[in-house]
Amino acid sequence: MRRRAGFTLVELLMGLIIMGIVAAALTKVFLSQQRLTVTQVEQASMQANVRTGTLILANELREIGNNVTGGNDIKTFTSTSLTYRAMRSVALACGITSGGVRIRQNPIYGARPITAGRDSMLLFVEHGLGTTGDDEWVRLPITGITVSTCLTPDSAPAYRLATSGLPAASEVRLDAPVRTYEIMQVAPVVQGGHNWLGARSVSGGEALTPVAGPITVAGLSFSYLDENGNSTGTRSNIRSIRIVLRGQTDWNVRPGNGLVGPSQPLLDSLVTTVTLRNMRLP
Amino acid sequence: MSTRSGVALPLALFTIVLAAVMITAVFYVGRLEQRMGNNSIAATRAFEAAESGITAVLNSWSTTYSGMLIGDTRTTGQVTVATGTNYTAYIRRLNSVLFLVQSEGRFQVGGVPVTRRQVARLVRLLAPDLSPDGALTTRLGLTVKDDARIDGADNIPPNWGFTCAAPFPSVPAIVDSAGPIITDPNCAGGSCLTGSTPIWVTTQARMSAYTTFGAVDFPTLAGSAERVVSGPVSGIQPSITGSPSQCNTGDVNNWGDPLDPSGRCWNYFPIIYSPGDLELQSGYGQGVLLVQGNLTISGDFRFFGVIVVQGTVTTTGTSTGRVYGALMTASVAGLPDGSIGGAAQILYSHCAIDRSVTGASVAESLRERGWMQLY
Repeated sequence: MRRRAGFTLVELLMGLIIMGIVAAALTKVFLSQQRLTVTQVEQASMQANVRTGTLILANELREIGNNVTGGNDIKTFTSTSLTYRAMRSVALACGITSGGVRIRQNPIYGARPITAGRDSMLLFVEHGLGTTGDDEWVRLPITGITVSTCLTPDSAPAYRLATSGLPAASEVRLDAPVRTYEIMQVAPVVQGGHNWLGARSVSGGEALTPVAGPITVAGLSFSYLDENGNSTGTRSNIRSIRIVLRGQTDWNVRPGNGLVGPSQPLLDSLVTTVTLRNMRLP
Repeated sequence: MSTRSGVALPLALFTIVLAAVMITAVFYVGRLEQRMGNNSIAATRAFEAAESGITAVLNSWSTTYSGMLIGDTRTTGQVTVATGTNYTAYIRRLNSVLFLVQSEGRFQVGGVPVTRRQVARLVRLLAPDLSPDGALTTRLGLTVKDDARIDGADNIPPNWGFTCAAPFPSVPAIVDSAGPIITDPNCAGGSCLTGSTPIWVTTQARMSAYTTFGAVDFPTLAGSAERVVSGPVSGIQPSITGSPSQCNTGDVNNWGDPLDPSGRCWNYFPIIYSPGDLELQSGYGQGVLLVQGNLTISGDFRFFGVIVVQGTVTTTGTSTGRVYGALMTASVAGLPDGSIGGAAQILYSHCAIDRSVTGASVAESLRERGWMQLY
């Protein structure tokens, strides 16, 4: 009788069972790896967003001056929202004429061009030379901008910032600093089903726009501290601002190794305290 | 030999590739996170370096900055504050009293900047209120003898005409608070004392006049001094360095150049401080001279500016030592009276006082809104 090569039914079943076990184990490993990767990507993205948001806020708020001449830079403040003057550029005055301040075109230190209506200015007025006690910043609106020339012997290129309520020209020294600012608000904003750190130009008439996030429902909070680091509700006492930004992932992910626990957003937070740099020095 | 087929090899290869992709992704994410963290650290270090640049310039404010022309810019050069972290500060004079100190902080890896941050601060010059009412102000007794001369007329120093305004009205030769002023026979009747009046007795010459100068006091001014000297001093004269040449402010014997308007040190007015007694023998200089002890001028030393002495002043010798500007001596009680003798001349000069005081101004941050972040 001729012998025929092949597998018995038992061998075949054993093989299939072993392959099934191996395949199941591999699938589990693959799924675990995939979920871990997704989790890490989401977490990294969320942490980057929180860092970005904190950086934006710190940079904006650091230049605030409060309880100083020219008025308070903090306009309104709550635990979740802050309206303030955001400094936008620095220029040098090179002439005062009726209804206008001329500033040198070069240098102007700023992130964007000066915009009439949206921006206002603070002009440094020296008064007496022998004392710093009477130095002051005078707040002026900017109602228009035109190209002009400096009232200096070299007639250097200038911009004329139309304004009103100017101090006497004799009190403004040549190349006195001019700071421009706009009124900004930072507050949470809801968009696309998520909460975001939002910002808007109040003087520019804008609506709140997401700038970083998403954040949790109560993901943005401000604390206002006095010179001793104690919480204060009095605007003139504010010396620093503590910012807490709580971020969350865009999507629900499984925490840990990605295999256990319910699917939910990952949360993380960053706390930073910004000392206001432009307070009045003793 | 029979050909054996199966799925083990493809399955193994597939598994390896898939695992590699997963592991790569994990490493990628980890690396990304590490880089973001490093970037945050780098940004912070660059920012702090920029801040330290501002602080360093203010803490070591040089009177050479005070003497800069409007529109001029100076730089500190690149200063390393820690491994891989440095700053370069620029000092720009905006007008007669304001400066913009701009500092760029950098964090470098392998010598290549990876992060830069720029901050600036507006700095205001605070000139000491040093405006003596006479050529020589003294609090207690003083003897004027020999061929000495004290003149309260507004003297414009030689070669200074182009930079000085027309002479101001004369002031008294000596302003005194109480102590007797003794003049020897050569100065009988006060003939060696000229000015609006030979001697004006006033309570303005009280002690605080020698220690507080408006918003700046004696210790603050002394703390800003670029020259600290004591004992006998001779051979004071301007010096230059480099190519193109510039005023060598690092030379301890360089107290500016009051004689040559085209000289590199013409606008250099250092504050010179002597914590003890000082004897000036020869040479010339300008600025503000502060002496904690007693001052002796024994040779032909010439000084242009203001001299404030907490002790007494003695001038001797036949050489003509000159002071253009003003001299104030507090003559602390208990010390023997000072004496202006020999051939010394104390010549009031409004212009010399004005220029030296401006040059000796102290810098301080603008009280409000002086800090700014640049982009």
